[in-house]
Amino acid sequence: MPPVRIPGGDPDEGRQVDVVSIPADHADFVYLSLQRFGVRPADLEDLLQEVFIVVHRRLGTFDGSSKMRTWLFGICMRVAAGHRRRAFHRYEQQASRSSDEQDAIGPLQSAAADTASPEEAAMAAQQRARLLAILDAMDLEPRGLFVMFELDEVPCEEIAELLGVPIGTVYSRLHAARKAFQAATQRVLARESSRSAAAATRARRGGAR
Amino acid sequence: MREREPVRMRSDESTPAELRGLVGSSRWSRPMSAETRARSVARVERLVAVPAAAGLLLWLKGVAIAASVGVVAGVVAAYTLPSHTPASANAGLGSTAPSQPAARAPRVTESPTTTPPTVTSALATTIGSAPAPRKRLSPPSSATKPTSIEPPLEDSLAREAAMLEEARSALDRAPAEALARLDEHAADFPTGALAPERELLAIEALRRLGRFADARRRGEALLASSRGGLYEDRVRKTLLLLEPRPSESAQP
Repeated sequence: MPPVRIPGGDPDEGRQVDVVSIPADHADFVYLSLQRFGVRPADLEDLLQEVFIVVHRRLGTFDGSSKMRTWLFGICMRVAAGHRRRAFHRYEQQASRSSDEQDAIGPLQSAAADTASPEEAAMAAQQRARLLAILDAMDLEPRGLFVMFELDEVPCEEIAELLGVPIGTVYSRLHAARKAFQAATQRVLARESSRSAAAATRARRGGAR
Repeated sequence: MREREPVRMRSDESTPAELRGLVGSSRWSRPMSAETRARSVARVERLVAVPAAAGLLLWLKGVAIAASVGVVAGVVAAYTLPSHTPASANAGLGSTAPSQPAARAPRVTESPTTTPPTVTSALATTIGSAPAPRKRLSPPSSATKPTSIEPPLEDSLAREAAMLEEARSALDRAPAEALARLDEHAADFPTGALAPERELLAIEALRRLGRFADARRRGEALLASSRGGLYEDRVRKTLLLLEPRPSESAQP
């Protein structure tokens, strides 16, 4: 694949990029983006590789009508969407959650475990798992935006630049993403309480025998 | 006038406490470690190097074919044209007598027939040494024998990739069909360039068919052959998923 010259309006403007320079320059960004779209730590390296394979195949179609990062962000979302769809991923997720909860839930759990009492750490881990379930219940696009703004604290202006849209569009999408988050929270909490009720019923039946 | 940045939920008093508690106070995504970064970039570089090599082979193939065509034309002309035709020499020098039959292929006879075969045979040998499928090749007929070239590496790669792609696309809806396709690949390309990818797909197909023991066996074999390679981590993860489970006891 021949190098592609980046046109005006891009931070990479005028540079010639190729399939080797793009991973070197943008691997960190892709890594963060994949996490925002819900890729678990255990799968990040594989998916990162998948993104750059797509870049390798498609670099010739990159015409500079968007910024390189905007283009990469779109690829990340599609790769993460494919990953989410695969039944294998769901299987893997269940397996990794049961066998390696720490890795599946993410880094904050360990941070909490380092700084808090065991009870507080357990509570933080539970909250983290709940948040993960809620984010998993959201569509990828609002999820990515929600995580970027609410959890990773990326400023709206930077998000607008990244997505290649006016800042007003970011505000309206953020509004929609928050609504989606609230709706997903209600669904997850309702599911949790029905599971608790079922478990309590089973325990009562077991005790009566 | 620019609007103010919205207040984040975690700092917004009007957000229900439950939601504020959920979004917490720390960042979600973690940056990539330097070690992961170096490993990932190296992996991608290795991956993109393979198609580049295939591109070089494609170029070699073009050169070889062009040279072969030239040589065959030369040989044919040498056998079919009279050995001393004044017209051919004239035509080669830009004769204005196109009505003469012997003027049809004068330029071929001009070139000596000894030089090109050396180049062609060297290239043909190089390309012919690429791994070739064991079956699916029609037997060479005596008529085509002199001009035939063994399937070059890039053709094999393309065929391998096509077969694996077919298997991959069948994996979700018909894992048995995917496995059959992969078996065909194994028969055609036992030591193919994409053999590790085939094995990964085969393990997944076997898992989906509930043949966990077979999947584990192939996984362990693949792990043994891919230590230190691109797929080692992935195979290890896959094998972890294939750990015996209580529900597996029903498997024959």
